[in-house]
Amino acid sequence: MKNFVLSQTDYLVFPLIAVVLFFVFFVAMLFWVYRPGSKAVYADRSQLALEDGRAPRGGE
Amino acid sequence: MTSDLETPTEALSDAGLETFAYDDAIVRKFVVATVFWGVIGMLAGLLAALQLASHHFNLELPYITFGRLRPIHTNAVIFAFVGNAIFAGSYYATQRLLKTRLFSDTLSKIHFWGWQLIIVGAAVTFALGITVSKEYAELEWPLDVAVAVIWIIYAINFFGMLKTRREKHLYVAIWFFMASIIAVALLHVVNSLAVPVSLFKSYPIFAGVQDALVQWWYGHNAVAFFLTTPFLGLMYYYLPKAAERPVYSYRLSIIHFWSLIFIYMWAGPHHLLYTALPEWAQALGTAFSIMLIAPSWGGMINGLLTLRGAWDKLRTDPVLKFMVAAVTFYGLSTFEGPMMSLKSVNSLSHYTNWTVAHVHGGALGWNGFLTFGMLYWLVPRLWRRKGKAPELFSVKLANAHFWLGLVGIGFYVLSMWAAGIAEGLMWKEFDADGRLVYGTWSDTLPTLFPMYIIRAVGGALYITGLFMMVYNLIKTAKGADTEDQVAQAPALKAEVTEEKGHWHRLLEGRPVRFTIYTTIAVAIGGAMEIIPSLLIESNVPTIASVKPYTPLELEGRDIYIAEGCYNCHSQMIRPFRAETERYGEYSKAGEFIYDRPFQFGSRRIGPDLHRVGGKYPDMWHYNHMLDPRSTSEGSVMPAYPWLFEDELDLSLTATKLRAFQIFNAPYSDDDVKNAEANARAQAAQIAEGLQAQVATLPDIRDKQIVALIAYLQRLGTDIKQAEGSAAR
Ligand code: HEC
Repeated sequence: MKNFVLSQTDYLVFPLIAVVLFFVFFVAMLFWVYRPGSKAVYADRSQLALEDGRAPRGGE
Repeated sequence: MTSDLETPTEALSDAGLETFAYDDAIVRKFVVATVFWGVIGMLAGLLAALQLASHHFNLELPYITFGRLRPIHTNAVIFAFVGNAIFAGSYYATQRLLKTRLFSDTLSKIHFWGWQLIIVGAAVTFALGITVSKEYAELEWPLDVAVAVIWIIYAINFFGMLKTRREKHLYVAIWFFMASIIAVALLHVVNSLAVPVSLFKSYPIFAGVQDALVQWWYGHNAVAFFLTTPFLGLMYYYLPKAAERPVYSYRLSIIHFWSLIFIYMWAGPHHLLYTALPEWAQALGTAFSIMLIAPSWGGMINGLLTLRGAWDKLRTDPVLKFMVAAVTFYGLSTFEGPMMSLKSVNSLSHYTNWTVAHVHGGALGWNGFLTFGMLYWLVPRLWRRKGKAPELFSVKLANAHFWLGLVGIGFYVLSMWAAGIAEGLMWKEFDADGRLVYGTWSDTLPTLFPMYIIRAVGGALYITGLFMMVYNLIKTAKGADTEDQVAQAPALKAEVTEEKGHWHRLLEGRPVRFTIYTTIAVAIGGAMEIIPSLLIESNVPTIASVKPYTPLELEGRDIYIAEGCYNCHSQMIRPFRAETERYGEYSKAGEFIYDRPFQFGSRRIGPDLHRVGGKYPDMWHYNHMLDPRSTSEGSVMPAYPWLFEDELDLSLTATKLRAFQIFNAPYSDDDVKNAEANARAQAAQIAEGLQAQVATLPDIRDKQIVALIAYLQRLGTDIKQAEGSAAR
């Protein structure tokens, strides 16, 4: 049955579904990363790479 | 670099500080392994380059003949050099980002030694001709299993740190590492599915076109999730470190991450344009390849702009030089790649040295340079001198390494671009009478020769730089201290894991959910691409005249695989006039249903062989395999004298046919029972035929060459027979 349905489908629907799926995903992601208040959060996060790894008492 | 010395006063004032040591010993081990395998892998590459400039460099030694050496080179640089760099870089960075020691010292050690053993096993088996022949997945099944086990250990060791972490948020570099670990596991398992017939031989569960689709879904994503995403993780950590400023836009890095891991998986079919792959899959591959430019360039811009206001440091700091150049090469390669996915460009570039240029822009420029930058930064910190700030032995030497490497890449990429375009054009050039101008393959070789020399020079320059680095790093490390770095951080309060409602927590603070989302994003692409093509039988229209191989041909095919002929020969004639003119009828999907693994190939150093069956008499092949120069002047094909001496081993033939029976190949039980006898009969026929022509010829009936000739003479003939009988 599944094979029958698939064999009746125009295969080009697969790329089409894929592109639509990605588009929805992408727009949702944009809304999310630009949500209010995100700026401060991200500024904070980006410091993570710099603050780590320091020995607290001049252990360098 | 002085910021390393600063003290985080805030953390100190906090009560309940925990003191812990990072496991730097294991990072040092991985660093040493990175450098060691880098040298080996690149020297292997140089030898391979020389072999294409002159066949003498094959030394008539089976173990390092081009077909066996190339997989040694590619695997050594990808899995040994880059692999160890990923482990070193991700272990160092993640411990610090999460403020915790590696999860388990024991697992770390198993991970390290296990991986090195696998590499040695790979080198030995490839040299012996034990290979699956799927590019960058050539390992036979016992080593595949070992890779899976060690990879799971890496995963446990890595994800275990999330449990013991003292920092609630996961910095974006960690996302990239996590996604890579998950995706590589998935890719490796699916592409390695096979039915073993002995300890050293297996047949993939997919055949022909489907096998090709799965393989290039893997091959493409190995580039994505082994050579790209882990290195982006490294970029997002070490570039800010070296530049001493945060990444340009954290927001952009998130967009970069999700779009990249979502899109990458879909683009695999661009390796199979104009092949017998279904049209929709090709369209999918092209569309998503073009879309890949956006996130890739987002990432590149993000990396480059991290240096905002610090560009002057570029002049003096070799670490930043290497990293900025690496990110630039990332940008160039991720632009070139999608361009090569356009069908019109691909029709020219595919099978040529252009692909080789593209790969090495990425490998030497992006992976190599980022690794070098990271090593120049890491080694002074991993091998410290008491009471001193981390310092490289010679900054001057490192700068010289940079320029030498850059010139090397220039030579390499430019010569291979030129060679690729020249080849592509020569293959399709017709004269006024409609005949191919370069009708004989050897006609094209003189044009390429100087480019192969320039390429080898470029590679040699690059390797010279590498040796300068080795010296510099050894000098830096000598006499230094190797104590684990001690750090302090407050323990993570339990509430973090229970916090809810905040969007960012949901994604970043909860590794489990994050892992699930990542897996879904990665899996959708793979599933959408692979499942339809596996389900739909009509993807591969059956051709009645296509029959399974005879036992002898099957053995010959396995010799073809073992010798790595696919490294120089394609078996996929594309539907262009230039190709049908040169090779014959274009290849149909239905012709490959008994091909396990598929042998489409990816590079035409020699001509396509799909329709070579019946093109020449057996005697031609006999002479050609013994000494290609005797039949084809100026050929770069290695001679295969050992195939004329080594015994043909038929002990597994029946088992092999049995395995094909499992795959529904129409072998009867009698065929299986008589496999060896049938093979001997066919071998005798070929050997006697040859001796009837030249009585002094040695008897080859029990030598490997007889099976190879049988296979070559069968190639692509099934369809010819159909035409023949229809005409009669
Ligand atoms: C270094 C690359 C290289 C490798 C490895 C290689 N070949 Fe070749 N092969 C060539 C080149 C170049 C030619 C064209 C010149 C000639 O005829 O020798 C060629 C030609 C051929 C031809 C003649 C094709 C034709 O249509 O004229 C056959 C058959 C062949 N190779 C078989 C093999 C087999 C079998 C193996 C593995 C055992 C192999 N080759 C490995 C480069 C290679």
